[in-house]
Amino acid sequence: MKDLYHPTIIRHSKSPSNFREDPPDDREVVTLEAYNPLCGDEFTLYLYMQGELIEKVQFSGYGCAVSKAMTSLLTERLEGKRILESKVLLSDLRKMLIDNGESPRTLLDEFVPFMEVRNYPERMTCVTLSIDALVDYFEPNKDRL
Amino acid sequence: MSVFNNYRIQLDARKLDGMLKLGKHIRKEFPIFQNAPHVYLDSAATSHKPQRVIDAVSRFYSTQYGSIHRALHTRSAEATRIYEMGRSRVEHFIGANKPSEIIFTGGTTESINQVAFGFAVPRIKEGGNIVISAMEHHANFLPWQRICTQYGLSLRRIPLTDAGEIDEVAASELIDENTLITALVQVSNVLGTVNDLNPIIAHAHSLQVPVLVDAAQSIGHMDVNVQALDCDFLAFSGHKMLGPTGVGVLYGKYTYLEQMEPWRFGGEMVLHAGLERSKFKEPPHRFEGGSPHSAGVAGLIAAIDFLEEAGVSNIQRYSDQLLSHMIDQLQAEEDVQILADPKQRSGLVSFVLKDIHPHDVASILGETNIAIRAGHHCAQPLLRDLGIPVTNRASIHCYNDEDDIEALMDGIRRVKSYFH
Ligand SMILES: Cc1ncc(COP(=O)(O)O)c(C=O)c1O
Repeated sequence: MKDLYHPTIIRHSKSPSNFREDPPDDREVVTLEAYNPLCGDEFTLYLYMQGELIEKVQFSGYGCAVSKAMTSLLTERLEGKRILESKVLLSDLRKMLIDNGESPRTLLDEFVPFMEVRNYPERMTCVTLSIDALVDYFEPNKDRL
Repeated sequence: MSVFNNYRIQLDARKLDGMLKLGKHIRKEFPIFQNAPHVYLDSAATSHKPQRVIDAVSRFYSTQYGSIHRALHTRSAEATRIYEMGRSRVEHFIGANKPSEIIFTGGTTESINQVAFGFAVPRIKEGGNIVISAMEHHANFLPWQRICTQYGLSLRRIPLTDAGEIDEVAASELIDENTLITALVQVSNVLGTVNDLNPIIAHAHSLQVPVLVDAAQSIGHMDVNVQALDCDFLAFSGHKMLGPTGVGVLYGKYTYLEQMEPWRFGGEMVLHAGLERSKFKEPPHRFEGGSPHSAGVAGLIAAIDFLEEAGVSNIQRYSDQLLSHMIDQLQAEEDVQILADPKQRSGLVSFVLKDIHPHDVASILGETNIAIRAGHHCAQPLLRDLGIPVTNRASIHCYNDEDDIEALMDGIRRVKSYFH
């Protein structure tokens, strides 16, 4: 468990990047709800889009250390990415964390601590919460496993 | 002779004061503590089983088994005898008037649904309402919500006082002559509050309103007596009272049971099945359609044996002391906030750690085999009122002791060390 609560995860949960208390006024912003009915975790993700480009991602809401740290890292990682790149990134992340653990890991170093969740299946939804909300938005027709 | 018998003497109420270690000895009767050692503080979700309950289920299948109420052979007769003995044991355990007031169900959830759909629905009148409290488990909320939306009734929730008790004054205003039924929890599975239901039930009865009591959390923890409560229906589950899963009880005053309609149709509940109409058996059999969980009843008898031998009031006295000890410890700990402050509390306490999500707390405690609950405890409307999405909950039974509380407190300090 100490391994699941890796310093990266603790750090991001205590002072998350791109976190805001209230929703932005900006009406242009794309708003995504990431809600886990099992545990009541609820984040709102705000995507500032410039055509195909994700200029910035912010989030608000409430969740455990794992889901919060994951969301925080995702906001960092998606900033400045194009939609296509983001799709690839999210799909690689799902492969690495959920499927078989194999993936172009070098690109995803900062997410490696989350791999520990594979030993705690009951916490898997904490890791996938925001990833899935983003996948649903970018690929609305794709069936998730 | 069981370990429990050895310690029966210590369960003498006069000798219980200040004793916080008894659970250690009682635990020896519960094989799971030897086979998979852990600190179990989640009995409100489900309790562990003493060896004799496990043995009773096993003995039933290995020596007494047969169909219930069907065949004429000896096996069936023996199984039926045990099943019906279970009915009498439950009758005495809760102080009912006769065995036919006891219906075996799959658990609290099924018991409440039987009353909702078999009793309340046929009595619906236009402009009616159903009254529950703001602290109900989903099992005593969703069936009523369903009926209300389906038939256009209003669902009234009695608010709670700041201390976390059902507000008696509000209750007397909300329960009126148009109330179809009132369904209230005796002990809250989130706050631990023991509700004093007598005045509310008396008020309801003054208006001829029947009352169902959800005793899922009180049964086995305190003396639950349907005469003293004067409730019209009582629902509880075997698995929370040291008994098997999948078996539960619905008690109903016989006059109400006569008015209640079956909800599950099938074998065993019918007297005569015609092509157009059928005639159903008398209560309780008309409510027990299909082959019942007879082995569960065999185990439930053993659970009642255990509880009666120990004395429910002794268990209550012991666990009240242990619970106060736990609350004292939690209160003394920095950054721990306890939910609610009722006059009387039973078996459990909900709390939150400042700035640490309850799931992280429960996960980290789980690392050292300390089992507590984190979540909404199937009471989302209540938590919404409280403005807290999820809590941690620690709950106890007779097999817990002060070492478990110490382990919990050490665990909480370790959780804090992760984050602070
Ligand atoms: C107060 C209360 N009511 C009802 C239930 C439902 O019991 P069961 O799941 O055994 O049907 C529970 C169980 O958690 C409970 O605590």
